[in-house]
Amino acid sequence: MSRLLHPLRAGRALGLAAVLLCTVALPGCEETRQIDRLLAAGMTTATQLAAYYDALASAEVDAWRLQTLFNSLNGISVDPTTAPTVNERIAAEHRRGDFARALEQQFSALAQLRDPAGAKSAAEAGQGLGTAIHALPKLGTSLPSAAADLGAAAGDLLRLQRRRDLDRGLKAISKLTGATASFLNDEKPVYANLVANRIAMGSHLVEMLVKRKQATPGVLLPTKIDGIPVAIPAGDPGTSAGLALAGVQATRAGLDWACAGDELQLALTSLQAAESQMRAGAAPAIDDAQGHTARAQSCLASFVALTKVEP
Amino acid sequence: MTNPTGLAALELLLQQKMTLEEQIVAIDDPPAKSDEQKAALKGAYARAVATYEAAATKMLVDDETALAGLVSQGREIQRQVEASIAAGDAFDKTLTLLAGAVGIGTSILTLLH
Repeated sequence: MSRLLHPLRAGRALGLAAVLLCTVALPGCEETRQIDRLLAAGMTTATQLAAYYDALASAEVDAWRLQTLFNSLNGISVDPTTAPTVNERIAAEHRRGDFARALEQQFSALAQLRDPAGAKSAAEAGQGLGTAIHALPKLGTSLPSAAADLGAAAGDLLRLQRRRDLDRGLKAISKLTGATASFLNDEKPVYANLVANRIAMGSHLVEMLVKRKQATPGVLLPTKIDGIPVAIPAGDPGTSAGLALAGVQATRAGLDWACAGDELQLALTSLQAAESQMRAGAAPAIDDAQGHTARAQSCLASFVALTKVEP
Repeated sequence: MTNPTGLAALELLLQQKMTLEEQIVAIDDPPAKSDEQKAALKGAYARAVATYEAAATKMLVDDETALAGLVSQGREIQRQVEASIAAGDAFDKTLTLLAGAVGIGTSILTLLH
């Protein structure tokens, strides 16, 4: 068999030719680059969404640890069924994180669809997504429209067979991002409530420990302000200043959490718009989604730093 | 979508829990409270914690039904509790109001299911 006709070598040669053609910026290659950028932006947003749910679950674990400490210090016994209830909720938050990770896998698999072997991974990711959606019972009862959209999109992605199905894949994932944005928008107030409980729990515990002389929040004060060393003596002024600063940090943590959720929702909405623009043949505004995702990441990092509970 | 009344109920239950938490933080502040009063406050708080946690889980795991009447009643009691605390009323009066608020919270939880 001639070396040039060997299928593997021929495929490699075609791939190399495609790369060379793309480097001279043919119109089809521009579209390819846009699809790659769009799917990469989708992956980043889904990764950040998973981090958001992981942070919510961590905040809940911390809230329960603080609650347990508060109860113990005050000799309060809570109904023993409460801890399993909290665990059940944390498991529900982890399921949302798993869903976001399945979405990330789907974006990743779609990016491989131009490779003939990529159809298999896209189908597998579609199956994973279907499983993740099925694990969110609330979708079926209170969000029928989003559930139908998500389910239909996962089904479409599962049926992807060929390279030319990329367009269908983009359409399906556009539905997914839109339905995910609705789901997030719908549940955000509940998450905000849970985070408010976590923040209040920390504030009340610190205040109680200070009153009982078991904590000295003065150590929270910065050692330098605008480069000028600051030393507040121990005692009431330092304690009052430390408590006031803790209050400011608690407020900021709440704002950071709200910012992360709002920006993620905007990122998902922007992604959906970009996918529609691409299918309509227009240049997709991918930068918007990337900007919102970057801001969500920054706000989430700040929230995590402000609410960190050291063992 | 998330039932707006269910969300209002959850906010009310959190408010109740936080109000009681603040009372426990200040439990040794003047005026002095009897052991019975302290025990009653802690008991009400324990119920409020259990109710809030159960309701929050239901919001993420289940759907809710209409709760408008109880939420409105609960809001009114919460308003009275806050007014009583602000006015520095006798602790017994505040405690009675708090216990009423927690009782409504428990009824809300039943309806959330």
